Amino acid sequence: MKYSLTAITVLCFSLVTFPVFAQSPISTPEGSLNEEVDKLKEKVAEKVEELKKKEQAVSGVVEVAEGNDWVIVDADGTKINVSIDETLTELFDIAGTKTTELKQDDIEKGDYVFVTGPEIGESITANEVYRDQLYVVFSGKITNVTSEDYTINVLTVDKTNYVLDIETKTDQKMLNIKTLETEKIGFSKLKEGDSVHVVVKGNPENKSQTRFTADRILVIPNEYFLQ
Amino acid sequence: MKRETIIAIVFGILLGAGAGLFVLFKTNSSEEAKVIPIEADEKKVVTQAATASTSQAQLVISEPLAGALVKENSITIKGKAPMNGLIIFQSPIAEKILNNDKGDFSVEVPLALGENVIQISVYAGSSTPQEQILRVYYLKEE
Repeated sequence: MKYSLTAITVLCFSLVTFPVFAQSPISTPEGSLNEEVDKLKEKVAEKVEELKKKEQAVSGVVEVAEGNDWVIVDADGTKINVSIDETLTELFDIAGTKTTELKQDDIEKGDYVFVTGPEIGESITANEVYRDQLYVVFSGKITNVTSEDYTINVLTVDKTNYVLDIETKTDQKMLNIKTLETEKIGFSKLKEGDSVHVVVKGNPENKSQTRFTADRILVIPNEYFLQ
Repeated sequence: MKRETIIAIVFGILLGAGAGLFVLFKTNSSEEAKVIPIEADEKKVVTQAATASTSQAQLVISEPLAGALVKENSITIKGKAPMNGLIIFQSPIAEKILNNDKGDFSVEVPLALGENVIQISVYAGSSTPQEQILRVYYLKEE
């Protein structure tokens, strides 16, 4: 009887399986430290590469350029605080393909600039400030062609009516709807109803200006949309 | 066999079976806990893919980032746009025209020194385009 009781108890406990938690092999402290250092180096290198790719600039019209705390207003109307360091911040002017160094006093209210440097929220610590030409790019439909004074009226999607002076220096091109290549054209080819993509030199001090001399125009004939 | 002995044996079997079942279920539940996040990730991937396919009809610029600062005098613009749409890339120094027959596009656009305002317009079955403005800054490597 005693034997059978013992046998049954042993049988019951043999049915229960307990999980075994194996211990992972222990690496040497030195090897582990080297691995950690390598991983950290890789992470730092990745981060540096990522930051390089994300290097950005902000642009806007100078609203305040007094002392070391400037304010610029970007294309969306957002005010951006710019911190200038008298010894570290470099200032340049861009004209064509050349940059010339400027002094802090050379930049005035109303100038169009772009700033490079670390950006936090709506503040940027300026490493470099560049005074540049403001360009405005837009598209719309030609609503009027006046051959007497070589102007065209362009109505944009947001219902702004621009008057553009077409001068001999204006780069005028039209889409060939068969080849989808661009062709040089003259003023006589411009007609009402065509779509047009325009580049003009903007006026940073007058954002509501609607008359410009066109730098470049690209015409998409209305026939393209009727195909 | 005495009555007490039989009760003890039955009690022992029940206790053993109970302990066995407890260990078994506890192990299974921990395995399930490991599987759940993987399933959740798969669902997330499927959801993202579905979002991408539904938004394919919109103009999306994936590269470069707005305000990107580059050291080369050209940049590759990548993105998605409606299939068979006509894409116009207009910048102050150049224009590029592309018939978007694949849906995804990749176009190299030359850059002028300084700020480059690039307007990307897509005409897809209408004379009113979808448009985006991209500002890219090119500075020479010193």
